[in-house]
Amino acid sequence: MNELLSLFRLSLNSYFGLTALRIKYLHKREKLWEPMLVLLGVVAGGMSFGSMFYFLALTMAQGAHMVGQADFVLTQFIMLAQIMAFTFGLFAMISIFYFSNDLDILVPLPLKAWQILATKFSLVNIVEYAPVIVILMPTLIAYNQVVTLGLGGWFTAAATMLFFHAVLADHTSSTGRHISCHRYARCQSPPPRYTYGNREPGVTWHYFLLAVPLYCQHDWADSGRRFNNEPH
Amino acid sequence: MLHFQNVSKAYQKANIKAVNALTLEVKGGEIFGFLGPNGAGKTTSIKMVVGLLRQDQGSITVNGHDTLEAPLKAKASIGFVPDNPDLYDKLTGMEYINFIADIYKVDSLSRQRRLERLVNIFEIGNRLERLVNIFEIGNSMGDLIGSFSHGMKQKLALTAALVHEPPLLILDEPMVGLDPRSAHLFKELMNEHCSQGKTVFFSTHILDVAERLCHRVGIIKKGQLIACGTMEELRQTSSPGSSLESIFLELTKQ
Repeated sequence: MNELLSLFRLSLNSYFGLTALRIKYLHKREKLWEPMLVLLGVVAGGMSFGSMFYFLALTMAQGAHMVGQADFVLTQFIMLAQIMAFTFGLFAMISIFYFSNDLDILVPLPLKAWQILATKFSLVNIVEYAPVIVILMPTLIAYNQVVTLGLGGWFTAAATMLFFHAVLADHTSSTGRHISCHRYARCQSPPPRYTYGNREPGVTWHYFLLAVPLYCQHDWADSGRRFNNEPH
Repeated sequence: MLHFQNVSKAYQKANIKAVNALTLEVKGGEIFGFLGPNGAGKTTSIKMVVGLLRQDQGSITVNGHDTLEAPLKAKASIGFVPDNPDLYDKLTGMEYINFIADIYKVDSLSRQRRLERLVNIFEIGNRLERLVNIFEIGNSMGDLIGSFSHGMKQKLALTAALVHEPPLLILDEPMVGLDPRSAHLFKELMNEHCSQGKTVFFSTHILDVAERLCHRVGIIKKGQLIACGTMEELRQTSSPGSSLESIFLELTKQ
């Protein structure tokens, strides 16, 4: 487990360049206007997009609530968040899985294939959280104003946000893996780097990743009501 | 320590065998030089040992562990320096070394035996300090690897490969990019590593170094091992008193 954590920390640090940022802005204190500008951009962008999604979701939820279909808003915005996560995730997936050259460093180390794959997959998930939070958080707040989510609803919402884009990430990973298979072995055998030691990540993991978010999504609001013993 | 048994590897695109029925044994406590012209199969052989490539047939054993059957045990016995050390550019040298030490469990974080842990850390500290001093990279350990020169990266990769004191050190052209002083110190380190009963397997084009440093030398050409033995044994196949360079040129001429 320590190796996995160490590998994850290293991948996170390397992908986002945390040490480089720390050295440049905290130690050398060079071009401090750069992080200020980025922070301003993130805050301004997040607030403008967030408020846009909030008011849009609020208006839609109020209208839909009149005809007893407030849950429709969640479905729409989850779909939108999935599309955004897919778009951002595709680039992250390509850069993390396909164009990264760290396998030449990692494969000779005594690491299991699943540890390397899990780290890369987690990294893609983290990259995908940004669009998910910007879209889903304002939506949830707006929805909560119209239909009270309650403790159970918020719990399910958190689980959904945590896991739902994993479906996309999982399938994009699988696609990437099969592309690698074609590239390295012309489809006769899986890519040798991932199968060192005759071991491959099992399909169970893929199904698990599919099952959790689908379960969370299928009746989000209902599960919240059930948890709170509220009438339908 | 390292045993190739009838190992072959073909690249599908080239449709030729990069390594062809290679059988070779490297014993514990020796420095073995792996020589050959460009494209002879040296790097392919090394990549198969460390798991970057999979052999089409045959078996490779490291410290008694088959690289396909027990890859983690085999890899745990290896310290590897590639021919082109592409390390993590956005990390500092110290972060990279600490990562490698973590992976090889050099730094035990056992909470049950705090005292033992502290002793371990102290030993690591000493070992690291010594390696860092040998390669004179102490001042750069806090800098980003991306700012390192090729030689500095090479030194860092060597330090990382030695930090867990592996029974088998595999080096793919380790002298490339090293300044003369570092190269000299590195050769001393290889001798010291070997004197502890550990093994060094390295490929090189610098024949003088191989002649002076290696206990045994193997010459590979077009994927096949064409000569293997001590310098004396190799000289017996050629004219007496001939240098490794002349033996090499004679054996590898078209």
